[in-house]
Amino acid sequence: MRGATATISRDVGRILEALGGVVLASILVTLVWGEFYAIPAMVVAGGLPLATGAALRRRFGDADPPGKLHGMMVAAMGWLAVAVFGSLPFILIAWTIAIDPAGLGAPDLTGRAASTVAAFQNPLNALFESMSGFTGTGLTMTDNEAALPRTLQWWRTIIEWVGGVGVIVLTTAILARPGSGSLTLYESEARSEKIHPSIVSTVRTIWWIFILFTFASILVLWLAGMPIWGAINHAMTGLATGGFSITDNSIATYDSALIDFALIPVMTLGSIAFPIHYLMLSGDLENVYTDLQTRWLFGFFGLGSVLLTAIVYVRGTYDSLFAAVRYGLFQFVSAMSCTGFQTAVSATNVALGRWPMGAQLTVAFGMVLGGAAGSTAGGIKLIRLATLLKGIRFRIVDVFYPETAVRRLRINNRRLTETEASQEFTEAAIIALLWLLFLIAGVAGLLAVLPAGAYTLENIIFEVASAQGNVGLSAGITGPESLPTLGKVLFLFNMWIGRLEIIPVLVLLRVGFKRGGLY
Amino acid sequence: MTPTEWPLLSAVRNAGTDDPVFQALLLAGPVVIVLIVLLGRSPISTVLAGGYLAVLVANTIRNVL
Repeated sequence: MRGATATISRDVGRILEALGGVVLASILVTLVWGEFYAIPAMVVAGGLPLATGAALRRRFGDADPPGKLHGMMVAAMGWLAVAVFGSLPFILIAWTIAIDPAGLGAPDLTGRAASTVAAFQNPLNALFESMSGFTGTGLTMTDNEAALPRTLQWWRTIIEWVGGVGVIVLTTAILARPGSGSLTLYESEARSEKIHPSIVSTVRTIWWIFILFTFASILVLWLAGMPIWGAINHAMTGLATGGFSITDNSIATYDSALIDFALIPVMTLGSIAFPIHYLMLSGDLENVYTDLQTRWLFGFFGLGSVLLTAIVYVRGTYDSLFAAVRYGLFQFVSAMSCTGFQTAVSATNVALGRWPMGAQLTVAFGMVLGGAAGSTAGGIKLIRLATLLKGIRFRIVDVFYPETAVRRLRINNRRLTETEASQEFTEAAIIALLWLLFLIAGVAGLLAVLPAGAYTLENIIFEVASAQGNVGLSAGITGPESLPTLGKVLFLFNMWIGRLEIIPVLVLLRVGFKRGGLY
Repeated sequence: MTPTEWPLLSAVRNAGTDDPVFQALLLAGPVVIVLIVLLGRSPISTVLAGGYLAVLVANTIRNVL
């Protein structure tokens, strides 16, 4: 295990070095906006992970190459470490504004702006924001996003964007497992090629596709009427299906149907597996169409949006059919893509938390399901739903065949042997079961820590599903004051396991408990 | 040193896309966005943004055909 510790420490060190580089590069934004008082905070926030990472990498530079177990533990440990170090810009800038050491010229904030920034003086709130960002969740401790310094607006955006790329790399290149969808893409008999044969070239390809889509998304939103700073931030968090906003009422602030509709393709791009994007850009549309996850994604988007629209229209939440379509379509795509942008707020129409119970549960269903494996979306993932449904049908129909019959389970144009089918079905069933168990545990925990009668059960299910599915839609429970400390800790765990699809975190905890003599 | 060997250009060339149009779009993206920031919402910046998206869509369609 000592060898494993060295390998994990070295690789987490490399991740921290990269994080430090991202913080230091973000100082450019600080300079552009003239927030010079934030520069010392950003230098310290970047220097600490950089120094820690470099020390770890040098100390364990000769460690063994990582194996599958190491990969899981590095992912779990790495996400936790970047969340911890990524909270530093929030804490340090909040304290800089509060005490203005050495007369740095920090702004003298009042009212909601002051309380919004002051919330990050509490390290738990800052850690919550950072974990929410890196996991692409989007639940926030910010009361008024528009009041944040531009540096912190940018920091929230860039951590979601980097976290989005990170999870694609993780699921398509590093932790590809049977039933995870990624291996499915690599091993498909019907597919003409892998993305690329090596992890390094696969990661490079993911990067250029992600960057190209980011530029395109920025321009689409700007052409739809969003100011350029908003377009940059919302394109990055929308494509990463993170959902952090720079405005007080998320996308509802713009109150523009055109912007709402322009964001639909951005969120959709983020929830399609990135190997499929590669095929699409290469002109291989045939394999794009035959990909089960992509077909199901559009099917569920369509059916879910129609159902949600019907509920909010028939129940009279919205007077006009256009309004019902506008808000129903946006909120379902936002939920199932796990983005978490919100257009249904009380400032402009009817808040999500006040939608009919059936509508809230439809949105929650989308959040639990999530997008495609190999994308930035969270949730259980479509490939697992397909594996479970087809696997159950396979087992039931099996009864009607003679024992000597040789049957193959067909998933996504692959014909699996009994052993392969059993392996993938078990993997999908275990993750789905664990997902539901942690969801139930989260609901029970939140019921215990929230004031009795303050929120309905559907509100609480909605909020926990949102945290664990890395969605970020809120029924109004999450906030620096409204969510008790234990609730914040609970959500930190939900967001963490949700992003890593549970098993890597359980592996890390098992090893940790075992070494601590608790297991 | 030829232009394709410049650090930024060679980084894009080695980034994984062999398609020269996508390579050009990756390089042009930041320039277009900076121009939008500088020019604001004007006919020129609108044409630039629309042109960028049109080239992206057209090249994808060309690859399909």
